Amino acid sequence: MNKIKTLFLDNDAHVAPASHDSIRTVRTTCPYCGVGCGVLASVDNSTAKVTVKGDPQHPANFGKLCSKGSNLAETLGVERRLTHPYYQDKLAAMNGLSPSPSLTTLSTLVDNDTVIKAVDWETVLDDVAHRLSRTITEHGPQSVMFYVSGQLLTEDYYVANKLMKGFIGSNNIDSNSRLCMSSAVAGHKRAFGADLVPGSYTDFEDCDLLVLVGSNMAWCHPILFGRFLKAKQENPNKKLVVIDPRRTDSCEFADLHLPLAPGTDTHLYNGLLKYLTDNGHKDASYAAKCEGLEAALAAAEAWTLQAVASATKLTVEQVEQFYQLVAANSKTVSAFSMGVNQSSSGTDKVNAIINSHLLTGRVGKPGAGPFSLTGQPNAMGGREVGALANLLAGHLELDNAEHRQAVAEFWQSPESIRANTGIKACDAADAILSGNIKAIWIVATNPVVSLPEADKFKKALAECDLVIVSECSKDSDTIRCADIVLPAQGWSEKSGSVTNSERRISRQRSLMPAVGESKPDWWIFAQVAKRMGFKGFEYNDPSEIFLEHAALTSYQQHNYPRQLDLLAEIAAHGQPYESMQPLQWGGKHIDVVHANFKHKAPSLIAITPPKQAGAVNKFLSADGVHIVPSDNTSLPLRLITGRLRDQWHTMTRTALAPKLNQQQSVPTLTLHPKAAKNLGVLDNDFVCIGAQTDFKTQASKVMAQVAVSDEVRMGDAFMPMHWSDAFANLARVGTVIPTKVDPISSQPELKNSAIMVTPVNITTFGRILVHLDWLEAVLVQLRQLSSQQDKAGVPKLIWSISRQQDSVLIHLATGSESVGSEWLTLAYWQDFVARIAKSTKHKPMAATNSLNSSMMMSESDKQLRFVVRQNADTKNPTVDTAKQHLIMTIYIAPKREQLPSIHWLNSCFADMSKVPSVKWLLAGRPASGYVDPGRLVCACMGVGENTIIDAITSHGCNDASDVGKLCQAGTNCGSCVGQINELIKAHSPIKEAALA
Amino acid sequence: MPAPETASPTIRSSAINAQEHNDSANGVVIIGAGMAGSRLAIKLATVWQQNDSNTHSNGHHSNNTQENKAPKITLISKESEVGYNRIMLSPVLAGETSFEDTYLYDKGDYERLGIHVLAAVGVDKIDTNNQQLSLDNGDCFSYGKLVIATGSTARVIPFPNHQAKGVHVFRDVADVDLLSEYAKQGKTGLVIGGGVLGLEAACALSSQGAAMTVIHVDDYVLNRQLDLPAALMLQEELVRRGVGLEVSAASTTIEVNDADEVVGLSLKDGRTLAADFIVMAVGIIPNTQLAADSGIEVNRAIVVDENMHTCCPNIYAIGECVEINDELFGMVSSVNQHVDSLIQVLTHPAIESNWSPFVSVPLALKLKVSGIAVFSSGQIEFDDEELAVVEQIVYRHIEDNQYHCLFVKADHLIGAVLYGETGDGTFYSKLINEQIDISSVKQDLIFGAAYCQSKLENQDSDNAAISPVSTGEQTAVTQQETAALQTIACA
Repeated sequence: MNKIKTLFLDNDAHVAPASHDSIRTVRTTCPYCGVGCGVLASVDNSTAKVTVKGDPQHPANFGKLCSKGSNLAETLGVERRLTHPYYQDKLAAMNGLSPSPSLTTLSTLVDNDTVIKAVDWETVLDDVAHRLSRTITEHGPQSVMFYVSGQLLTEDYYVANKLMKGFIGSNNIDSNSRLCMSSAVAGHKRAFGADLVPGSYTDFEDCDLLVLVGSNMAWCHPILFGRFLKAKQENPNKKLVVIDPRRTDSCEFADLHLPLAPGTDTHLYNGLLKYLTDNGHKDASYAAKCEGLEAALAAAEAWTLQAVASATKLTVEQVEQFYQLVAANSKTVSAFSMGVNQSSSGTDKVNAIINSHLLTGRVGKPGAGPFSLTGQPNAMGGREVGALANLLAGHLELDNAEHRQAVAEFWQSPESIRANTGIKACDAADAILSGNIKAIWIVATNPVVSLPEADKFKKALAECDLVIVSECSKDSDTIRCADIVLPAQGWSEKSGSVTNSERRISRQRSLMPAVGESKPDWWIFAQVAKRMGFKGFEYNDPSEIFLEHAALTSYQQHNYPRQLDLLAEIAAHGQPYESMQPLQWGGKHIDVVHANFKHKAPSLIAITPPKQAGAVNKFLSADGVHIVPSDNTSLPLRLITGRLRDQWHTMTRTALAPKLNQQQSVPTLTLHPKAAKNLGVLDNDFVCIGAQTDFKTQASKVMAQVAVSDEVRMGDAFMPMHWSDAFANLARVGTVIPTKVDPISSQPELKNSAIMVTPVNITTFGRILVHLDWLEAVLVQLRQLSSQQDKAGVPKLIWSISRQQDSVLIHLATGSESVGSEWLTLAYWQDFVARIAKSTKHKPMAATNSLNSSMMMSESDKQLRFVVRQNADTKNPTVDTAKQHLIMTIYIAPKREQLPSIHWLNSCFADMSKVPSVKWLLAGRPASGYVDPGRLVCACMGVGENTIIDAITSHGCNDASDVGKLCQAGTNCGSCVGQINELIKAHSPIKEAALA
Repeated sequence: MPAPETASPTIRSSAINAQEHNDSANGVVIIGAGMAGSRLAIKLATVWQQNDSNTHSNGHHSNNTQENKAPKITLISKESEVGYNRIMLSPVLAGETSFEDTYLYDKGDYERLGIHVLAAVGVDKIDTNNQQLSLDNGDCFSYGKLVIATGSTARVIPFPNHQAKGVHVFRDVADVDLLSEYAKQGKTGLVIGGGVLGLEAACALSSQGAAMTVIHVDDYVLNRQLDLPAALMLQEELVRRGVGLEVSAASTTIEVNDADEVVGLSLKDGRTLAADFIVMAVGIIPNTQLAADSGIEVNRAIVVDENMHTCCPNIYAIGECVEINDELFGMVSSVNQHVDSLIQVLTHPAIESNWSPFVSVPLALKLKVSGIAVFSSGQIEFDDEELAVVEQIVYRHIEDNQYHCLFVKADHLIGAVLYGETGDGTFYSKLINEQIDISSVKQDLIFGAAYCQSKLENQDSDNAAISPVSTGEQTAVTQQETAALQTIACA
């Protein structure tokens, strides 16, 4: 009876009770970082409007969501979705001269476009299958590659991997996890014999010391960080150490920040290994069960405090303070992320960290363990199914013939699985350019933006015989390089499972019908597989795939025991797939030395750090001292890439949420004040970034605006990795990063690249706000303009876009005198608008309605403002501003400060009824009584900087919780609390009084 | 131009008796009851009446009231209509306003204030030695102070046949009556002169039924008041309204038939334009004959100093008939300034420190054509050298035909042209006239008073005391009249 009751309840567990009949609430999982927060998504059946909140029952987040997760509903607009399969003339599309497809019906696409040509699914699936088969016949199975993604669900991943390794007969499947987690995978396998994260999120609450290594957890894993902070707040004896060359927002809460030289983590951890040993903190009985201890200690022997301090450019005191903290706290969690993994010595870094835990026995115990914070929502799922070129499936080993045989049996593969490692992400470009790869299928990732030497990869795609791209967003740079584009379902539509950083499998459930003709990725792969004549892809539902995957993890466990054994876990869990609640495989902790461990004994790895780890730059020593080259207008620097608080990957999703674009809306390069001074640039000035080492796409350059801050070390520079051609020109930072990969994990170095930075003289700035309906046509114009270069190779136009609540903000800049003077003519903008209005392919909203335009110009001040409105009513044209729609506002000035702030203007795109005169629009603000809330600081609650400053100065708030009580800022995910504290420091009258 | 036969119904020359003549020996006599003369009479009388009542209420000098009694004011008007607002004749011609509405003051005001009005009477000669006037009705007349406010006459260019039937000017109420007749009959007319008056006349007549074309010798209309973009917008608007336009067109000969009636106008380019009538709107000529005949110094106009003194003792001159430092005047605001300066002189003859000498200020223009808002103020024409240092700030509302151009030099607004929407004209005039430093609001200047006023007022309170734009009587007048007397500029 109880059993029946439980099952009954469980069956509905994924649908939370709703207060109203017309509201349907679905339990699902956030698609962003590896924390894998549970989401309650409510759909209003009558309006189809979605609202999201954190799932209070999900053990990752207990109801909390960060700024990105909170804004998920804002990202579901169909206007940015791919809706139909199509063929593309990729060379024409790559020239940037065609807009991305904004079709909503098949017929508009066929009628109006020549660069892209719509096709129905039956035809295109047959064609893909036929062309892949023909390529395999003509060039062998090694001539085909899949490049997949941590955005895929486990079921998608599983089918792709099965098709490639089991049926096409090649291991050429790699994932963008290669750029994210492969050093962690390699490190885990070296240390534990399997890809295991031994701990749980509860360890973050239970530990006494949290060490963040190469992780800005406050921004990148804010909910999990929040759990630690809450515990620390309750018990201030808990300590936080942040090891990061940058003083990130995470440091705001740290007891100790070690701003070490990039690439010197292994030096630091070798020193720690020696220090712990020398000071009697070795757990002898635990260490005795590990291998490699002697060699590791021998390798660490040279790393005295002084040696470490010298290598890392930290002080002896800093290093010792850190070592003492680790020594004193047996409950230490060392959480590491991209700062460790994305390195040419990433695997060594991982193992250096793990060594310190193996030595002290701090593994798999409550509050203690090394903890890999995964970047993507399902990087872990991809690892479980083995969808990387050097993995097999179900945690079996590719280099083990018996394992390969077992998997081939399980799959009933037509041939045996190959032993050789397949082509990995960073080798794909060369493999294509050398003619080894003839066909590549890219799924749910944007490598034209994210890979190092991104322009080389783009060039390779241009030359590749067959490029297939499966995507859900049409604003992807990679789509433009495809011969065949397949529309995949996105979050909210697709259904399957994901695994988070603590090995917890959660369901992503569909809450909305598929947009257009989009399909699940597993379906697309399975359809192609069937059409290629393969058996074993007759899936009707993701649950069938999941169960097959689970069965494979359990397959021949007696012969080849693995920690991952899902069938057993699911049986124990006792829930059907549809109502499956979050399931942590392997239990809460995996103690790698004990009996339940099924592989070899864990190992300490002997690591010899590179002698000059930081000196990647021939002009720059590890401590950031410059040897100024002969051309002293340029400055050699070391580039670190990373995330912004509110953006995700290449922004194809987050950039749709207006609030998430407020924290930073232009590509920036953060420079130390001294570096900026040496370069002769100020905050917000433009610089050109070029690669310093000679790789083949050296001509690539990146334009960014300088953010001067001492949060980076002298000699370092930081640029966000998010920017793509969809949102800016010349801001793909990957184009200036050379391909230097870790020899073990093949993960590329993305945090320590030699660059040359040169000031760019900008003479004219522009700011355009445009109605969303007109954006596509405006972008076509911008891309055409920005494809032109002046004699010195400087682009005539630098632009970036940023979605606002009711409009899209476009930043313009030019250093070209001729472009600048063109921008100051009314005729130029009238022509600009006329060309957009005429655009037949992408007709703006009701372009037939008459337009009204107004301008203001001061030739001597080099300022122009131009506003275009449209009569709301076609039949009754009016001069009454309040009865018009705002289409576009354009502001041009020689100084950025002269451009109006956009907050009020943006609201006019939704409602012109309170705008009595066009002069208000030209002025950029109402004539009186308006206070600009300023730059958005809290993206969750939508609170601006001026509002927070007002809370500090007028209401006497002098800590972040007071500010939160007054204006809600920082009260949701808390990832902006660091910034609020900075504002309190800067503006608190109490502080000023104290200083006085 | 001959005055119409009908006299004003309430003001009659016969009302003046000999006793009053004798009083005038100490009195102020004003020749001319146009906008300058009538305003002076009313304002002067008002000031004196107030002083009078103050004196009486104070009770001082009650034994000596005869000496303190305010001088008599006599207003001599050649036209039978006294004190109408000539500026408003264009709306009258267009049928938008009745003539009755153009009186500046209620006719009862003259009687109430004890002003003697001699209407439809001309002055033949001034005996400056004996302070006496000879009137054209044979009377002689003494004065204590004499003010010449004889105004100006419309200029007529002596083209061949300029005296033919059908050649008119547009200057007074009699012209309005005559021209209205052509319009009612749907005749074809030409206006020579694309200045303010010419355009107003053409539009008014066109709206009343005449087929009108404006002949303008310069490249664009209103070329002294507007810059090219504003003028082009105005020209387009005129064409939309059915008013023909010939710019860069030099007239040569008025063509007539055997009956000496106008049939057309020949142009220098060889064309002849057909016409039933021609209106010359080519500027004004100050009326200086009387002054010159009486030995008062006349250059282009009657020469006066900043206190409106002519070269002769006790003789003053104001309005369009005067020149000060070589400057002639055609705008009502300067004429009002003349009046204000002279009132100080006349009411405080001995206390020179109370005087407020005339200061020349840039003037504003408004066009009185229904639905066409045009405003210009200050300097808007520049040579190349000036152009290099003058900043232009332009606002344009394209489909709605609005255009503003501000001319800024060294942090001061020196000129403004507004077309289509002129609400901020008064604000800009003030900035120009009072030479207010606009550096703090330059970025917002083009957006108008709403964006600048409070900042400027704060700046004022810091720097102390520049009067706000709108207070008191000065402003009431400004809003009613800020604008053109029809005008010197049309030539």
